[in-house]
Amino acid sequence: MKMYWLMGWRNIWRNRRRSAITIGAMAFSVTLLVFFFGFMASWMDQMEENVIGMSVGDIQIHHPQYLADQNLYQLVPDAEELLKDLHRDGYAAAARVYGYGLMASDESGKSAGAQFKGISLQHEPTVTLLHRDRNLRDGHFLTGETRLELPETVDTDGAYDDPLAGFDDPLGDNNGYGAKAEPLVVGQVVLGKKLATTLSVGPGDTVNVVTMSADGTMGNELFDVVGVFKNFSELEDRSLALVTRADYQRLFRLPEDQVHEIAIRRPEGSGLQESREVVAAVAGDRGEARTWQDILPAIAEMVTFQRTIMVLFGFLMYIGAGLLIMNSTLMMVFERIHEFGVMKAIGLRPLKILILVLFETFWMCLVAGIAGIAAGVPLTLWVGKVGIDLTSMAPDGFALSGTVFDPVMYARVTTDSVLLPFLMLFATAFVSVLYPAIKAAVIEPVKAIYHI
Amino acid sequence: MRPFRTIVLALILPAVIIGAEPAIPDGREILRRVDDMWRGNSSAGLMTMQIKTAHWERTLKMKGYSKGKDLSLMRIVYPKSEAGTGTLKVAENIWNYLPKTRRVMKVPSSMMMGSWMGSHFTNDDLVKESRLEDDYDFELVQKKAEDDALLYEITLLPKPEAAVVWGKIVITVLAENFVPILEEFYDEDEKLVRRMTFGNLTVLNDRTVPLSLRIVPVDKPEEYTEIIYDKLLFDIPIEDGFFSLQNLKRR
Repeated sequence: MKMYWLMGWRNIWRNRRRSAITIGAMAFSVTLLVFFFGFMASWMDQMEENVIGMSVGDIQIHHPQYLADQNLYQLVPDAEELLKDLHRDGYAAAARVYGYGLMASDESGKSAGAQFKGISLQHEPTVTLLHRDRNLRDGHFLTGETRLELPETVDTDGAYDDPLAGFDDPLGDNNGYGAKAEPLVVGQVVLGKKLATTLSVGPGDTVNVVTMSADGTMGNELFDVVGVFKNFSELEDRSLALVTRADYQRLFRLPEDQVHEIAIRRPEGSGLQESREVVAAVAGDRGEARTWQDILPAIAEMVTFQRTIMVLFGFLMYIGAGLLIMNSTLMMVFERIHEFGVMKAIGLRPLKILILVLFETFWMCLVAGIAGIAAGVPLTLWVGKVGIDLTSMAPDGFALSGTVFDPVMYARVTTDSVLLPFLMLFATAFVSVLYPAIKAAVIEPVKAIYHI
Repeated sequence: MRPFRTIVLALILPAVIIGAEPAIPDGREILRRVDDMWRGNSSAGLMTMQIKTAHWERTLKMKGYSKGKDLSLMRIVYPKSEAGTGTLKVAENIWNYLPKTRRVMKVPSSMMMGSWMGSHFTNDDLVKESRLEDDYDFELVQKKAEDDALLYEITLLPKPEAAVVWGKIVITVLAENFVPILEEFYDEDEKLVRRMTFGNLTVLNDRTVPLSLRIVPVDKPEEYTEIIYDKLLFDIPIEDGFFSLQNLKRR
């Protein structure tokens, strides 16, 4: 056997130029694929981080119809107790409340619809990465502080006469409104970046919000913009207004102790489905537990089929390299047809010749694979460090399946991103070389020796 | 805006019936008289709005003022916690004033289908009167009511190029005095979406006006918004400046 290894190695250097070109092309394909896979891994990271890490968490509990209808009144009852039960069982859990409101800026005179999300500053960081400063483009995250503002007094001088002033008023005193200024509690808000742009506001500005509260009254509060998020998702960039649950409650007046959503992170090492069952049992009839895969099937599929997609794409990229290998091996077989004829004539069996050709290919793959990885890994690491800045092409980043990716693209070296291109090169080469190798193996000695 | 629906309706009826002249030979003249009587004049009233939804029920009292068909102003006077909340309409623009933060907010076009003050009226209801004549074609049919009273049924179909919310509006009025009794709103698929009924017909200053109106969403028949006029004054002097942002904030 050792002889085959040696012969294989020696034979590839008999035509140095051709072998070098073939190995070079193979190595180039490996480099490209290592880099591309590293790139894809980084995309997947970003997607998982933006979607699961930043907002969804592993498992969520809702009113069974909430995800379908997004109705303000579809609530999970006894939230405090449910949270306690979940914490007791080792699950990090955080309650969230949602609601739609109209947000306006006095300075710019602009207004836009905003999707409010009320979170607990104590629990949310145990479930998601939402609070990290690196998620913010400007300003800082919610701190939970509020301030008091005394509303400006309204100038009533020169008011027009009320045509109804002379009426005997069935309501008694109807002129008391608005006269006495009560201090307003001003909370904090962090905005999605497109929402901030639409309103022309940033940290330091104050926005005015009007909503329909859960009790049918008009909710109206002021909020100080303290931060603006970076890329998040299309929906959240356009409309997210993140506030604390306490500030949310002043605006929306939900029934006590009821929430729209409880997001849960499972303990390290526990399976997703198994955790879902535990959470569902804890929740009982208070709400329905779903995994992030149930909630975001499109993204779950992308993650599940990530490796399949990588392999498919890799083979597509390798088709060129494969044809090159086939061609150069075929040329090699024709060149050495006398040699193969002689070998067979002295008694070498076809299988042995096949094995010999495969060994030659094996060596070429090994050299090319190592060279390709040697070039691809540093390239990936370098791009991972400096990034490819496409801000000029797409200042707002790229949207895919509702997730928005940074305009600066990074790459990351993973086991898959190195090992897959390497193994796939062998697979590609093996398939490509079969035809020439079999041709060499089944050669008829007499014809081969007299071949011109 | 519906509180002034009665007035506004009277404003659009002339246009409606002029278009369908052969059906009612005297219609034009009658309606011109109605038109002269209403158009350009002003009104002020005190009304009670009762709203019932699946989740809550509440009663508001407010003062409303209008001048012509373009200007109106409404202000909540009860309950006290919301007193001062006001809405100003000038042509197709709506501003809300919120006394708690003492701020005026213009309702953006994207919110036109949103609820007005939590009721079953939309912001679009407030402004669309100004555009009915421009946006719709009218068809008129005579009908008999159950008590043999003659009715006119006016069907409003949007003109092809008009950017409107409703696919069809059917307004039924009493032929005798042109008082509206029923309005039905259909979506683009000609499916009935909501129904507005008028009641409590009362003679005020020699004219008959419905003093109550109730709107019911067809898909949620247990919900409604009802407006009842407690007082209603016509032809009162109001300056145009009364319908200003400045004045919306005052009082």
